[in-house]
Amino acid sequence: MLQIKKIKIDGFRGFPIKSDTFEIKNPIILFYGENHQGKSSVLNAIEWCLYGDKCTGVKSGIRERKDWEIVNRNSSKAIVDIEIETDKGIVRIIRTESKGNGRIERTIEVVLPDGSVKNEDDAESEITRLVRLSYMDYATTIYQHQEAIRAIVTQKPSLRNEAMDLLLGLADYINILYGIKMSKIKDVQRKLVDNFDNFQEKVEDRIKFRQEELEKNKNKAKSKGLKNKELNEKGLKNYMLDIKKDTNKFASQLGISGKHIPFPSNWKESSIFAELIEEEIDRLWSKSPDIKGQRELSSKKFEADNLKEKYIRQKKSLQKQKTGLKKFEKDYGSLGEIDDELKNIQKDINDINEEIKCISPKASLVKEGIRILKDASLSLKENVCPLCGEEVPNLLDHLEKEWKQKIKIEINKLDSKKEELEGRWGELEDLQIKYERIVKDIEREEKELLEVIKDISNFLGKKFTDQEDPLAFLEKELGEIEMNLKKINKSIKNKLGKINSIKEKNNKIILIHNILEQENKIEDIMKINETDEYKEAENIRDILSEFISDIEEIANKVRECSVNEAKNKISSAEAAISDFFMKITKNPGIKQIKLIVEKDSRTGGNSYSFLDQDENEVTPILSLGDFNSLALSIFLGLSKMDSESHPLKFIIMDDPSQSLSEKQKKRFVEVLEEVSQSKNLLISTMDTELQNFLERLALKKTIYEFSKWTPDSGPSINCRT
Amino acid sequence: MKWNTFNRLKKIRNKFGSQQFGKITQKLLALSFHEMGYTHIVERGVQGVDIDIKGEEGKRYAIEVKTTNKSSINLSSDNIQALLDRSKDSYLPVIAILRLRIFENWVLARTPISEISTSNILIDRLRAYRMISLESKLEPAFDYVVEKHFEETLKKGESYLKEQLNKIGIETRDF
Repeated sequence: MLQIKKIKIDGFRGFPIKSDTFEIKNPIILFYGENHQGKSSVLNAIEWCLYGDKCTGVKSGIRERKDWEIVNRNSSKAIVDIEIETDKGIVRIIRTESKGNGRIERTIEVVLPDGSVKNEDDAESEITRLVRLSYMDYATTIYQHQEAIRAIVTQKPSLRNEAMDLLLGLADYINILYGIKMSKIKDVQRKLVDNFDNFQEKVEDRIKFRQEELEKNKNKAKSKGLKNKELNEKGLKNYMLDIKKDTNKFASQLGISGKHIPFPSNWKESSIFAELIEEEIDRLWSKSPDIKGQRELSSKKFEADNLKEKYIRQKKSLQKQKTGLKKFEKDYGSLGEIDDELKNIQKDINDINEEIKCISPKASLVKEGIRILKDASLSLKENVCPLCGEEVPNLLDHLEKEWKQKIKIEINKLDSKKEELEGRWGELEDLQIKYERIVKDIEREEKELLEVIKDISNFLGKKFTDQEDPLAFLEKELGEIEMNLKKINKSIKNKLGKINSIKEKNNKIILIHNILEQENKIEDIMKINETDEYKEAENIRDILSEFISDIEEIANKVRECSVNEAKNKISSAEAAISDFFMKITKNPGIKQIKLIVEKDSRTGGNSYSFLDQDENEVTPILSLGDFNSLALSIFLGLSKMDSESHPLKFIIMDDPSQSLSEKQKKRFVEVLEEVSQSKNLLISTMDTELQNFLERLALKKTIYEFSKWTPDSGPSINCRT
Repeated sequence: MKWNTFNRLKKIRNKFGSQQFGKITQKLLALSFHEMGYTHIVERGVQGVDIDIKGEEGKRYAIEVKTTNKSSINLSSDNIQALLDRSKDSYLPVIAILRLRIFENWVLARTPISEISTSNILIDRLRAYRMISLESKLEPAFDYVVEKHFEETLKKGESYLKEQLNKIGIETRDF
């Protein structure tokens, strides 16, 4: 059996700098004092020294241990050094943790009775061999935590079940089941199924769309005269053979050697084949004699039509000019007549001029003088008469006056006649110009007509005599051209029928090809499930399902183990639990407590019932103190039961008397006295009643009284035995 | 299942509705087992397990047939009880599920009946218990049977298939 003999604490939690040593020599060790005096730190130091990291953080299963600080805030290193008495002698376990530079360093050392020292992993292994108790079992059977008691006293069955599981040391099972639940593996499967659903829906939609397109094409094919039985590879092949034959025949009909068009080895090449056929037909047609002839004749006809139009237009134009000349002569006389009249007018004007000169020699000079004075009066010497040479003021007025009074009247008559003649003279000159222009136009038109005739002559290859009408010859030629063109067009029409027939067949090839291609695409989509990727995805569905099945089996087994272990433990400890409970509570209505554990069909976890002697559930009639007593009874019952399964000869109780009445505390101490016969008890309490009851016990005990705790120096400890 | 089979089944379901479609599919499945060489076949229309089959090798299967277009099936306590009853007579309990969806095939699941909960079960959950070998034989047989009987089934429905089952000596029970 293992018994703790000494605990030395330095820098651990409530112990800042100084080193405190606690001797464990008596069956009962009481740590007494108000809250926050460092009592619990002593109890924590023992479990930390034995279990290290396992008892810290959330993995300890104790909520309060989240963010638990090991090293006291005024220390840089925590050291816990405990001495354990074994059959072979004293074993020392020294665990340390130091903080600094953002790093945490941990050490563990075990000094065996023979003086040998083990460190780190070897030391941990040595402790495990020595203690033979998992942390979870230690936490439920050796160290009674306040938290466990608080959970047991709750009225909420789900929380009580959970607390009972913890009290029975089943936390590992709970954690496994919780881990399985939180893995949400079924959600993964649901998501996978949803993804498959979406994919399948898309595929179905795609196929539906393609089938509708296919149906449209089939209807189009039917409207083009294709039969259902032809809408396949065989039908396509027949059409291709047919069209190849037709094309060759057509080439030989045209007398042109056809190009070699390779016959497709499969239906997929039929579209290329159709394109080649189309090209070949266009090529043959463009090279056919008919088309060549048609092209030539059309060009000739175009030229002849142009010449004819030009000739007629030119003729018309010339005629128009000639008609214009005739009309001119009729209206104004011939050119000779105009010339004669001009000569006569010239003579008449000359005569009038002579007559005017005779009437007044000065007149012309005066008139000239006035004109000169008006036009350029500045160039003459001002106010000097050009006639008399005398200086006359206002010469121009003088001359005009002279002119009006002495000459004008006589000359006016002659001037008037002269003006008339000069007007006529101008008119005749205009007519002369017009006449000459008409004549020139006629000459130009005649020249242009000759050019057209020359073109016609070149076109027809014939020279015309003056008696021959080029238009008649041209029209004769045009008639011949049109007749030949008609013949050639008729021949072309016949051949176009053949071309259209080939092209129609070619279109059918393209239609069948499109149908086959669409069918092929649909088949390809339908073969998606034959692809390696799809098979792999299907395989994943199977694997995931198997995995989930395995996980569920594991979960079921874990639940089974959990309930079985709970049953075994309860079965072993049930009598002691009932006995302790009866002793502590002395509840007159309860003569026996039975603990029943079953698998909860709803949650799959363990469900605990507390029944009395009549199989009635007792929890509805239990007081808070009774619940606390029940929790203590379970703890003490289990610790008694476990005395054979592990070598630790002590149990630790932290503030065990919560909610107990004074009488219950007294009876609880009696139970502790009974338990202390087989185990040493390390009890931490702030309860003075409990302290008093314990002190009254006729057992050897050590009482450590904690007080005056300060952050710098820790607790002040008074020890008495 | 082939696309054509899928389409044919869809046409049958569209004409007769989901409930009748389930009965028709059950009979088509029974015919498929006959096609696969199973001789002792019992097809039940109402009570008990839907189909019993016994192969020459002596293997016996009690088959609960479920058809759906959803991703899960409902298994009633009666269904489970019926399978458990047949398992007492040395029949292996099998749940046959056909999800009418492209690329889906029959899932024949040799489910541990005692572990199955009577509620909505995700079909994929049962894939862990697939009888792959039997499924791979069933697939072409089912395609063939659907193709063979499609026209008449579409015209006459379940009664036609019952006649066919009786004609080849498959016992059908409607009580």
